[in-house]
Amino acid sequence: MAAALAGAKGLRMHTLARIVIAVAALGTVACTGNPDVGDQAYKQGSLGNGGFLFGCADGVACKPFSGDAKKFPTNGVAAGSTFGVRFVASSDQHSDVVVPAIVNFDTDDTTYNGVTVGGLEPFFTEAPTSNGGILASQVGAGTLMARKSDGTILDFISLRVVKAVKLVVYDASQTSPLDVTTLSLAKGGQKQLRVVGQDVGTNNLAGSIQTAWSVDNTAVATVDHTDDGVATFAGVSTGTATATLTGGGLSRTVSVEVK
Amino acid sequence: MNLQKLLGIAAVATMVACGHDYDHTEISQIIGSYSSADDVSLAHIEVTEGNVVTAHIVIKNDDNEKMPLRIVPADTTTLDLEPTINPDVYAFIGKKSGKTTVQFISDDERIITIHVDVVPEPSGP
Repeated sequence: MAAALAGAKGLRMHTLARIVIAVAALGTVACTGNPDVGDQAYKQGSLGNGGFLFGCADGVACKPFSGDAKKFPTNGVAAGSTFGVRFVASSDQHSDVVVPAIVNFDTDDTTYNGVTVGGLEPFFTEAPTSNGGILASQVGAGTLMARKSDGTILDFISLRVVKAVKLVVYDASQTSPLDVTTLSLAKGGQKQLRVVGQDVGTNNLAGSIQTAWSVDNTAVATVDHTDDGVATFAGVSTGTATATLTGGGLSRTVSVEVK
Repeated sequence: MNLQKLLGIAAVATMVACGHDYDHTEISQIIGSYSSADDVSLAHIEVTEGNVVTAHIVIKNDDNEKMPLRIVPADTTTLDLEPTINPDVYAFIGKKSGKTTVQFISDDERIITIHVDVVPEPSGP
């Protein structure tokens, strides 16, 4: 009897565990679909066959580190920046289970479900292989086209390439780009910075601007500039230094204090 | 030549003589990625460099039936033409500024030649 009760209890626990796992899995799957029709993450194509999703690593237009833009950039992309775009057919625009489902596409992804998005020259070119994706190569209004593997055009959109006039440096953990002019570090501590371009109207421009950082006094602080747009600063010893940033045809400095 | 052969030849000749001729071209659903000035018509095609204009194009015979259509750009470095997934919708892609032509061809016969202007995007303020 005791064994039977233990067996029944074990069975109930087993069933409960299954339910918990199933619910957890359902929750996971439900989060892996595409945005619903009408979501502002899409810019719908001119031919009416689907929408385009935008991805970049700037952390402002896109969720930090994920690459999914919550809203398709309306201010345009920064000249000289790289980004990813994928096309989602109208029939796939829902948040239910999508096969194949994806969680977050890489910032440089341009292919989804066999459809590849590319830009027309001269405004867009293929990004360097080290970055992947599409390069916003010339200021102006260009066209992005979604094609099947046989080259047939599925749809297209217009996207403006804008010259950035200012580089805003901000804490990489923040989604609001509050400009950092002085970086305070503890000795042995680290902080990460990102960069976004702004146009003349101080609008943040989407796209990952390819940047380069240097520090004039590496005895005080060092910088490790990674490819995903994040620069990691480390305090080495007490003192001050100047970090210089170049990117998008612009340059600026950030004061570094190590205490 | 027997009567049967003669009748056969006459039938073929009659079919050829009664073949439907090109009558007209229908162009609709014009969509430009850059500007509403980009256009496709029988008189002229204009598209902005680095952009695309699409149009639904069908040619019809004198019985108002759709005829096969092949569109051939003269210089694909200036203007390229590509099919879209939408039936009878063609994409005219402005590759570089300049003038060229496209030919509408059906059953190996040239229907019409249209002049094309690929224009540069106006410079910003």
